[in-house]
Amino acid sequence: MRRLRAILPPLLLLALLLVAWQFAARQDMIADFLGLDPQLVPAPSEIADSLWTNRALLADNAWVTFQEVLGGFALALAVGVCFATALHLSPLLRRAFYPLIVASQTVPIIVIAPILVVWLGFGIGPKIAIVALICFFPITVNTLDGLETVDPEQRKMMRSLGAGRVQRFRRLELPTALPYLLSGAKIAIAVSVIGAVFGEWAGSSEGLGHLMLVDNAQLEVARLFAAVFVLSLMAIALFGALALLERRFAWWGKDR
Amino acid sequence: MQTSPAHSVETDETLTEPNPDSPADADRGMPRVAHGLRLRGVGHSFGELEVISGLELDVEPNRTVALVGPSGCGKSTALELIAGLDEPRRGTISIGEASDAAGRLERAVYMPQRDQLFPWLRAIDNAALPLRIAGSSRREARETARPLFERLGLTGFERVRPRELSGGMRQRVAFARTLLAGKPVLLLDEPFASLDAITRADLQEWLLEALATEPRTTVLVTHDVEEALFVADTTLVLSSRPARVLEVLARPVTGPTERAAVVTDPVFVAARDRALRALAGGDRER
Repeated sequence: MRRLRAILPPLLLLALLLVAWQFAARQDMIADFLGLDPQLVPAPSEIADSLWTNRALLADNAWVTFQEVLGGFALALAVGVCFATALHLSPLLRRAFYPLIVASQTVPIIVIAPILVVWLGFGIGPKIAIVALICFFPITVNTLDGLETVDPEQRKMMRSLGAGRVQRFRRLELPTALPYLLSGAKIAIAVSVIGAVFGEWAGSSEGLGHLMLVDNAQLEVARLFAAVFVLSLMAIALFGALALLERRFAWWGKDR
Repeated sequence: MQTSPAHSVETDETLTEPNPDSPADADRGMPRVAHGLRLRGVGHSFGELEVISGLELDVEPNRTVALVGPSGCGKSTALELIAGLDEPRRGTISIGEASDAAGRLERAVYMPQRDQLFPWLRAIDNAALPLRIAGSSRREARETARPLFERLGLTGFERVRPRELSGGMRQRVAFARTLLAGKPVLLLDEPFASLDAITRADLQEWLLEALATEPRTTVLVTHDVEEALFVADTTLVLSSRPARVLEVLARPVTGPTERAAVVTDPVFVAARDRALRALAGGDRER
């Protein structure tokens, strides 16, 4: 009941917007206002129609993009957690690397994407690399922050209970950092699909990003919208999955 | 630097002598040997700030000493130094044979002010934490912790998460964790400071009993004079920073452990007044 009350207002708003859009598009109001051919402004019903008729094509391309997203995310997760751990354990490494990691975020990914395609080819490689580059920062910084939030009193207590460096890391610092890691991962996964699309735009023959380029060139606007819709759905589903993991395995973060 | 003579905790005839051959009670993580504690001319400072100066203290094996003093007088620092978490700038601290930090770390366990239970562990796993650190499997550790849980009146709460426990229960789980470290010396840093008056009185009674059945050499830091006199064999009243000993009081009422009866005994009241006067006087001197 409480969840229904939370979900209901945004759902109603969404329905209202869709109805308004449907009406405006059907009456050619949007196209007239923009001075366009009505064909270029699909109504939600036409997008839904395109979604259904192109379901196999969309699913195939979504699968490609999904693999790129998951591969890049997994890579960023593994490297990010290792990196955060190393920086946490070594103050020297931390001083050396931390400013560079922050500075690296100022380099726009769209600029790097074509370079990565040149280096890694047209396969899945450069897409995974771009997704990983986007996901790396929030995961690493959040995990590192989490590791640093450990209460010094708890550290003293663990030492007194006989815990050495490894035990303190495993039984105190890692569990403390886990909720931080997961909120970093949630931010990462939300932007990861954008990374995959950039990667595909820079050079590819499949994937939702590639399909968008094709639809754009062919003025298949309804299918373009359908591809965007599928992409959003994927991002929301991945985010939801991580939120579930967080609730199941890192619920104590909400205790603070 | 202010110094005061060494204060020995008087031993009565019921005191069990430390026996190096006493068998280890592995099931409960009982320490092998009872250890005494000795501080000689201990001084410590953080930068320019001198927190402890010329502190002398003797605690016989399996006796309880309370340190009472105004907040910020260096009591907690003293405990951390005894625990072996740091070396004092001056003087020596020895537990049994060990006078280095590593040796003390092995022999003493420090219980911090707040219970510091880990929210991600169930109550029993929090208590069994030192056993897990020592390398036991989760099942072994739980089996070992269970009898102690029972004796601390925590039966039925083994699988409960800390946030679902009351303050008094959390404190008892924290105490179980401290005991299961299996160290002969307990260092308790204001263990009941965060509790309401009724729970605190309950737990003081309970601690007295727990220490009677699980004897350990104990240093209790508190700012509550009544708590000190009720729980400890000897109470040292400390001055404000840098801490030095103003007054030494033996347990005023021996025998009964019913708090209500003890704290209203005229002898106890007189001792409390003496301690409070010493505390107030120590502050006026400055």
